[in-house]
Amino acid sequence: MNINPPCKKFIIFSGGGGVVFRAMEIELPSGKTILNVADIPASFDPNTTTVELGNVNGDVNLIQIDVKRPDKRISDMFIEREKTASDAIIQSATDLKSSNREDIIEICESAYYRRFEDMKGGMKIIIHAEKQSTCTLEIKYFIEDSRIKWKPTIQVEINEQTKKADIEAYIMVMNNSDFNFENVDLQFAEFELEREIGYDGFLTEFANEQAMQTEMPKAKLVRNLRKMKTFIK
Amino acid sequence: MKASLYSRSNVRLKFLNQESVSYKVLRKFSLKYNTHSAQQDAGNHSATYEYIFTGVNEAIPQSDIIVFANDLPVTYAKTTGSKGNKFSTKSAVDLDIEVKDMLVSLEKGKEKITRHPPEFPDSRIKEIETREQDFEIKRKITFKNTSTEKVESFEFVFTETKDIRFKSSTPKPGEKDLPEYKWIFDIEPEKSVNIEIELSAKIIKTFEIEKPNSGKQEDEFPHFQQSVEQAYFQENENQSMG
Repeated sequence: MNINPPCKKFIIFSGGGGVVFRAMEIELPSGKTILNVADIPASFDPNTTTVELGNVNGDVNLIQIDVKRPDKRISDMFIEREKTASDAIIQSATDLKSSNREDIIEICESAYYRRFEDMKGGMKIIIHAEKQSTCTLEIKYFIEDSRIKWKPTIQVEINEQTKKADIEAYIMVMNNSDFNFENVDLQFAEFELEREIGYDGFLTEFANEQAMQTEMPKAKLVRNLRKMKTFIK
Repeated sequence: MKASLYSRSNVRLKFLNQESVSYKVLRKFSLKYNTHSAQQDAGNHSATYEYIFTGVNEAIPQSDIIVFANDLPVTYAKTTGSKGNKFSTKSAVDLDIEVKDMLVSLEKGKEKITRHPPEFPDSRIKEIETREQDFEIKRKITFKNTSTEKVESFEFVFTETKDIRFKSSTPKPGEKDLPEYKWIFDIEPEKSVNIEIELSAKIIKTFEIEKPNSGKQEDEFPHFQQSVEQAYFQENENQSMG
């Protein structure tokens, strides 16, 4: 059964990435059910993924969670091809005023900036129910994508006579991934980090880890967090 | 806060809107000397300022801050974030206050010379010579307000160090919390405030006197080497200057 639980809450970290909470009600037939979860980004961290069954009606058990990230080296080769194709589309385009122009630009932009983190990962949840049942499926995973981050700005208007100030504070949230988060409860956490993440993001060593085949990929984002400083809801 | 975050786009969300928050501008100058800087004819220093806001309802993360007065930006600063209901901007150089630090007098005491054998036997060193000298130093620090606005509650903090001790001052410090001495005063527009401080210093230098068979006359070529302690202060001279 294919399911796409909507994202309910997304806590975004100031240093990039965050933790996603998705949930939905599901109806389970009697016996074993395999749920294929859609829209799992390749940047999700399988090491810290959790699945919980809530409001269980009947005898329902979570058997296992299959998690998979695509191969980074092969994905990167595909992405390079798509970038080349994007360049070729723009260079050979003649009618730059057609009604499709905006769509073409959007596709080319998406292809040009695409990275491994924009690929799709895989998550299969295997559940066994004694009889036909319902429950709430709650999935939580970290996203190791440094192109999703936030930065605050504060504007203060001071009155030098009264020594009072009016404060307005904003958060600029950046999502340079290929994924949308619609009508989500956005929250913001600021951490002291072990190290600042460079332009290449969290997954710079991931291809090597996969290529070795004997190395269990490590959680990059969570290991980089030292201490939470601020939390904004 | 509920929002939609679409692919390859940015969203700007307001998370705090609070009026009539109390604030003050902390203008400050901190000073401490080492044995070298205390003897200089003049020192170049800068005062600093920071905005301190109290009574803020929400947590403030590390952030850029633009301070406006009469709808125009007056300061672009940063904050490291709030602590409790308070946050402040990082210290920045106060261009409205000129600080002049001049040597008024320097009296050197008699040099006391002692010699003793090295702590551990050494084939090259015959003796260690120690020269101690007391100094009485008087300096005048002038704070000039170059703006057309009165500067209120300016803070001058002098910190004693191991080598440079505070003796007295005119005017006397308003607060004393050793090793810090604090003066708080107002400065009228285009006017100055002077503070004279008297300091004492004990300067200790050590020399290694080589044995005659090293091929050098001990008085002609004393192998000069400052003690580790002295070298530490030399090395950190610029950093420790206020």
